[in-house]
Amino acid sequence: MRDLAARLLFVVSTAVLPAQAIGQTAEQPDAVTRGKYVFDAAGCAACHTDTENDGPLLGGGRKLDTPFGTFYSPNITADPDHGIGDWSNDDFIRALRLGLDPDGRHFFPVFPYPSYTAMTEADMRDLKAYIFSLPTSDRANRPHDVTPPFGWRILIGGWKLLFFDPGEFAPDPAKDGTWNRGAYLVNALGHCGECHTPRNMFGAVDRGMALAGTSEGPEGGAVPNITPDPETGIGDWSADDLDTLFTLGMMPDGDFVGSGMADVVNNGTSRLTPEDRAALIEYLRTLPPIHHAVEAGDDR
Amino acid sequence: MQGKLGKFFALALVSALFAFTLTAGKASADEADVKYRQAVMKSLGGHMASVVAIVKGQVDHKDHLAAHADAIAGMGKIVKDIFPEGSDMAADTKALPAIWEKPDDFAKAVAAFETASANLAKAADSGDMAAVGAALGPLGQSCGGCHKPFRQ
Repeated sequence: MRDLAARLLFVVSTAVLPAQAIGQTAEQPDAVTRGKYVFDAAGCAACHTDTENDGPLLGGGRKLDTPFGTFYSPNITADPDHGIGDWSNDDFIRALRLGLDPDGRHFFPVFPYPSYTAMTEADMRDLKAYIFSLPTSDRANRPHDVTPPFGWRILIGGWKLLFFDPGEFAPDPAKDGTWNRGAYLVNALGHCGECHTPRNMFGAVDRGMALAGTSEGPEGGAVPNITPDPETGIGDWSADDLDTLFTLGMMPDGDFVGSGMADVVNNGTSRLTPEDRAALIEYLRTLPPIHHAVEAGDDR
Repeated sequence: MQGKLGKFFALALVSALFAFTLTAGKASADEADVKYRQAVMKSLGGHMASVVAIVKGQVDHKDHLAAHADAIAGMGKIVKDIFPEGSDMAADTKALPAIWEKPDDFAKAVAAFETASANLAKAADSGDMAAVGAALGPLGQSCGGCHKPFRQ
């Protein structure tokens, strides 16, 4: 009887505890407030806003120069004609989970659904609630400027078969709730690997080189190795160094991050709760160190 | 060689050599500008890291805060002078052409740094640690605010 009780307790705790850890945003009272937290952590504003030309928030048009061509992010405000105002909750979830629009067409994986697919459905619903609470924009979408065959959406079906692994994040029962929360923040919401993991020639992230940096990132520049390798990564950084980075944007040598990472810090990691930030840092520090020198150069 | 033709060629050769040394001189001037700028930025980083270490209580040197903050504010005043035209063409710089293509935006970013660093210096001189902490956020943001659009 005691044995059965112990087993039941084990099953219940491993089922409930990680879910509680992931659903930390569930502590907030309403969907819009929870949704803002998800929105900040997931970094939607940076890609979907044309800040360079003073575009409206989430109105799209932000230029992304990738090795596969130039993409322009779409308007994702709740405008029914130019944005996603006519999308149902299921449409929104399908976009993030499967990379499909309401007509069943594939999104280009420039939209990092290969990472967002791991989001919980609760986070997706809350995110939509927040986005739909924001002012709308009637800014029309600009067509992508992509060289064939990369512009052929139908080919993405094949790409997905080979490289896309859809599905919600599954916590690792061997690890504690904090680690799992960190894994969720990094891999699902933060989608850090989309910049920090090198890609193969088909543009798919090389999971064996997770977060090991690349000399040709999605926007052309070098992106650092953030695995705990002491020589080529951030192995000599303390947890406190990482916390300073994620709150202030300052690195141990007093330099400050620029480019896309400045957005990540200002709009994302600096707005996490201290517990979430600590979980993110714990996860990063337990990653397998990968020796991979990236030609970033530290000349400023 | 005939007199006039000879003189013409001699003049052409000397002009070419002169122009070459001028451009070679310009190239090394650009390199020197970049090196100077990098030295300034590195010194900024050193003082920023020191301020953060003090504010976070990692070292017990609150009495040094004013020295660091004043140095940062001093750099804040000179930073607009260290981006001369053409210094993005030198090999090792990460300065982006946007600095000279968008001078108004760049000037705004520089001004934000100047203001934020002056505020930190004021707070440090007052000895009010809470004010120092409060001034640090906007200062860090001003670093990123320039680095984001204007540095690789």
